[in-house]
Amino acid sequence: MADGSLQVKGATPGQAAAMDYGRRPTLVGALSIIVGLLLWELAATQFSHFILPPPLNVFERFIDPAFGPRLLDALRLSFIQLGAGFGLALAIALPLGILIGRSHTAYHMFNPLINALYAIPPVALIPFLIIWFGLFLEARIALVFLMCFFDILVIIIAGARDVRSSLVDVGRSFGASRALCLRLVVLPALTPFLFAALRVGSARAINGMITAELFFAAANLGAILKRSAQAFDSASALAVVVTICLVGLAAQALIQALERRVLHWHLRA
Amino acid sequence: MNFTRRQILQYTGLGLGSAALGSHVPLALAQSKRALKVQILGYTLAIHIPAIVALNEGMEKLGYSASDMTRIESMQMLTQSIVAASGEVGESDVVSALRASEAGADIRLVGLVYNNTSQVIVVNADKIKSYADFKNKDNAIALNSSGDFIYVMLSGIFARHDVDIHDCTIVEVGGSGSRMRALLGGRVAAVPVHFDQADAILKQGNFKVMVEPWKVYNPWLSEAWLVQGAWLKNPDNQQAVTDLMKATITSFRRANDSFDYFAEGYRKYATIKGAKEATDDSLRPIWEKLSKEIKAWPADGGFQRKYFEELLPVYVKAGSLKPGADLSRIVDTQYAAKALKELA
Amino acid sequence: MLNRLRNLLLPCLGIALFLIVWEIAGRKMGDSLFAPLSSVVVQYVELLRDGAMLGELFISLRQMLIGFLAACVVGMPLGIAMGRSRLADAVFRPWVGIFVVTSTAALIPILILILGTGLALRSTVVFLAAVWYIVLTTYNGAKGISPEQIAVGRSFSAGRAQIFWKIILPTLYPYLITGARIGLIHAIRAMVMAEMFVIVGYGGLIHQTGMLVDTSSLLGLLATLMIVSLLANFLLSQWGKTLAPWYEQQRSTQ
Repeated sequence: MADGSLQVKGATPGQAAAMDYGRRPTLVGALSIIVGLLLWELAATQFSHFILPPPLNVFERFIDPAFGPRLLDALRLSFIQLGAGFGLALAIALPLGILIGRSHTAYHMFNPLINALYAIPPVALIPFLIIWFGLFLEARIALVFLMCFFDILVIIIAGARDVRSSLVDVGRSFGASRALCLRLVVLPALTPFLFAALRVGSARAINGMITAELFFAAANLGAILKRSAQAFDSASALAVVVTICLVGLAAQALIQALERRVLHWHLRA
Repeated sequence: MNFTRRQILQYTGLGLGSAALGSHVPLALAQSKRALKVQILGYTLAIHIPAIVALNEGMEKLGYSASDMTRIESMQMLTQSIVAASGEVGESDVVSALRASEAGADIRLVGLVYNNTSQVIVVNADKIKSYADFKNKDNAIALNSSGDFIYVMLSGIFARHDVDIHDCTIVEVGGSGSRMRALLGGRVAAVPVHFDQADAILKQGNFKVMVEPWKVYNPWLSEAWLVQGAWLKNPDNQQAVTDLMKATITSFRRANDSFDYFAEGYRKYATIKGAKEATDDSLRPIWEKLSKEIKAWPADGGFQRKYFEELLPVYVKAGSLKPGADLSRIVDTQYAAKALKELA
Repeated sequence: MLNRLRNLLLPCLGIALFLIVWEIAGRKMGDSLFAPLSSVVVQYVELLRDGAMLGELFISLRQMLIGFLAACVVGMPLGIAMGRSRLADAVFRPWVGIFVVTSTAALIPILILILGTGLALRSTVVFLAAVWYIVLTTYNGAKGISPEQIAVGRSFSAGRAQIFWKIILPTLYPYLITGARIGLIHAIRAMVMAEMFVIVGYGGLIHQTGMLVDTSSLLGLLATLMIVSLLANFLLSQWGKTLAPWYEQQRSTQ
């Protein structure tokens, strides 16, 4: 359909109405968030404000001139390790994943190893990361890298292996070389997995960004979180958490916009 | 084919489900004797032994069941969980408790877990030859958090050696394991370590013990029993606190008088590797240091208002607390005093 | 036959390479910084004899299953619903986006205050860590199902249930399995992390061992985790093959 909406013949009026709502995702999303905030407000009445301050207290911190700008400044600095770690992970995991996924030998050789390394909680590795990378920016980048690398790799490998043999056969029957097959058949078929990897990888990287600032030498957002918790200022601490959530939402929205442009043939509706 | 697959699904579901449910803890049988719900730190070292023995055997002798202990890794979280009423009594550090009270929490400190501290500062002797070397920005000190009691002690000690702690590079690293590796890996120049664990580090290279805080400050209040104000209003709970103080003070006295009491408790409760097999020879120097030199287990419980009043300015000067903290709101010495009377 | 042999030997080769690198790196750094394989093997025997490692492991894994199963039961249908229904997508998408980036390490202190330190906490942490990855992966699969495929089914007068089982589910299959595998890994990791905060179970053991100067025991514990993950992955993929043998034939690499 021209406006991109889903039309399936034989839909009942109820289903059609639901699909109508689906056409206004931002409105529904906003409503969903408002409901969530109301639930939070309700929950906050059940607990002391040291554990769960109500939403208004938290949002007040953002507009507080003594706190808000500090928060933004810290966020800007935190983005450095996020960008470096995530970028590095993508740069290595994408080609490596395709290589391993398409090569029978490589897959059987390294897959068990990858799954094994993937299982180690990065938090348990922190003492070693301190020794190898120190306590500051390099170590944080390393942790962000570790936290998203394997997730991206596993998904790309699965995608590379998933390419239907029929598709590749069609390519071959037209006399395409391996390289051409890769470019014209495998890579396009890989795109949905690529976006799955981007979604999960970016989420892990953002997660890693703040974990790194909590477990090495406290810095930026992590430092603000720690100090606030020590002063029993739960509203400020939650403000940091909310900031991270907003960053995550923004990242997901960005990836979705990118996806829409690239994937018009994979997504229906 | 279809049928077989469905069977597999069913059985797998049943299998996983029962495996998961199998770990369901059966409901605790109603106990006739009360067990205090206590939150303690993740590790039990030599200095903690008398307090932990009191929680278990001491309370039993007074007619309770051995305390129900939950371990929490960080002192900060421990204090928070008492504020949140997740437990009845907490082994809390005095600074975070005072801070919580400043922020408006209704909590009370009722007695000492131990006096002073067994932590020393271990330095990389290649980098730190004298106190002045701390002023070098490349020589970082790794602490759990700037503002905790080690920081405050250090700021006072540094001041006596003409070093302003604000000129030093303090790095906040959570986790004593991480701090230790940072020292061993040459990433920082100094970390605080409990003296009974310091030997293992000293063997690894050119490291030495530079600061023994108890030689400068004594007494020093670091860990105390923390309870919720509302919980304390109940007379049964007040009795429980008095009994806890009786058990603790009795345990202090026995630990001072009898090496065997300490050694037995150590083998039973210490969470250090190899504690069960620790020899008398290895434990005796530790016991003597704690009992005689550090005076970690005062016979009178060591919990008096005047100690707090002496310490407060030091905390305020180091920037850990705001001036004007109202001690009367949080420090409640009546139970320790009552326990002393009943024991006499 | 030769194929089977190859499939067995190659992983061994890969692991052997890894072990060699470990030994070399460990020798260079020393026991207190990164113990070499040889030291770890010696300590490993000690760990097995002591019994705490395996004991805590089984307890922890069993408890982890609760959170993981809950994550599958909630996450898979949610992901499918979000992929197939724009309404569901619009309602849940912001929340999935929010929670998936929230650092578990930052949340655990708050959760401890609300839920205490018992099984409820650990199951919740495991659930929260795993469910979003299952949802995201399933969602991506569900979005890829074309109306043409469904129309074909409808033209054969297939009912909704049949369309689900015979068209939708098979197409979703690789995403479900990948989602479950990723979810399981995150479940194991979250379990260890939560336990490190409250010093129980396997995570508690890792925490205590991390305070020793000698890293051999710590690396031994991590090695066991790696083996467990390998086994879990192997079991999951074997189970997957039994459920859908036709999937293997479709793939172009064998």
